[in-house]
Amino acid sequence: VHRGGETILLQPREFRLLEYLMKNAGTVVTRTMLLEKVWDYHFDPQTNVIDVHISRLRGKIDKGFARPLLHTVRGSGYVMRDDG
Amino acid sequence: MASQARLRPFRTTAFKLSAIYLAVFTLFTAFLIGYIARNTSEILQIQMRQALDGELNVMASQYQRGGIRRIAQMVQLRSRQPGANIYLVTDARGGKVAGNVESVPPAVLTGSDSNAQIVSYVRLGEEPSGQRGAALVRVVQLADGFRILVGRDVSEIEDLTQLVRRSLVLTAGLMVALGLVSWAFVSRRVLKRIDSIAETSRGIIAGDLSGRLEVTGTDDEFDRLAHSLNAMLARIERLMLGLKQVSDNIAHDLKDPANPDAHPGEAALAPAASQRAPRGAAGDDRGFRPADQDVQRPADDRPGGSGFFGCAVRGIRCGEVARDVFELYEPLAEEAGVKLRLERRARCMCAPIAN
Repeated sequence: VHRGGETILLQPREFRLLEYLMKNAGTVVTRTMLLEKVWDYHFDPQTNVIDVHISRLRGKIDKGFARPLLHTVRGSGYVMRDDG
Repeated sequence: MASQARLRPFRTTAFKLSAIYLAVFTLFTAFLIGYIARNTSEILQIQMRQALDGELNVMASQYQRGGIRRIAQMVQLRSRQPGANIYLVTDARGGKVAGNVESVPPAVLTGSDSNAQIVSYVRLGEEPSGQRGAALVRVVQLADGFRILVGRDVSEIEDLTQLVRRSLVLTAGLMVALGLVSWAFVSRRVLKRIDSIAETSRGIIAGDLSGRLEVTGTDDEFDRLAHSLNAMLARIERLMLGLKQVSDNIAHDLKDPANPDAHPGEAALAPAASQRAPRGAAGDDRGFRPADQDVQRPADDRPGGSGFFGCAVRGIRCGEVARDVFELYEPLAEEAGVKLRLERRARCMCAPIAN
């Protein structure tokens, strides 16, 4: 993917995660939704596994840029939003 | 049975609550009205006594100044005033000297009690029928045997007592009537809802799982109860439907020619079914099948298929599952300082055993 003229290399699952977040940009998506739509799993992992994947994705797409795109909604999930 | 039906409204909670409320409120109101009336009467009597004492003091001082003549003049003057108090001046023999009283009990004048007391009397010229009134009087003996009686009619207090009694009866009557009306309204409404719930419940028990309790939209306790029960019924209905589909599928699978345990004669008599399931009917792949093939036909192929079996009995590749799990948890393990490694040592497949 590209952002600000920079090329960002993503793993296939990271790409699917980003794709789902971008398709739902501006909408809060829960961890359960991500697990179901991106991984096609229907269970409660009982761990912060989704948060770790999000953290990795955030490190790739937001690191080095002034405005973050991926925001955490405390107690709910995540939202892709350009605050600028 | 008929008497039980007649007594039914009286056995309702609504009736009991209304009766308790009515009894408590009536008792409280009666106590309150009685308390107020008693206090008011006492206050009036105290004020009357104070007024009588004041008048007697004035008369005593006038007697010292002008003797009995002055007292007599003063009594005559006051007796003529409209709404005058009761006055009577007698000599030592009990003969009337002045005043506006025709008769009082003789014991009142001859007695030694100088405290205020309530006596019956007849006012001079105002009681042609001889009807006696009641008055709070006080008698004081002067020098030379003269006596002065000063009193005040207590019919006001009697009127007040009567007024309070009438108010009490009227209030109690109104409360009973309103209580009965409100009880009738409430019990009718409550009983109607309960009857409706009971009727719907009977229908559901009889097998109509699609039946639901009526929700009127008032959001009262019956509506909340109906909401909860309806949600429970919906859940039960879904579970029952699922069970039915599962049992239908099992029954179908037992009859399916693809089933190795199915009766061979039945399979032979079901060519159409065999055509619908060419792989299953081939007869050469009973038992273990390749993992990427369906052991049985998808449920959607069957009449009434629910997808339960179609999803559950597909063969799966263990390697894919392990890879997915590895991919999901590898970052988490890495953060925790654990190194996850995925190795494939032998081909592993999970597949259901046919039937």
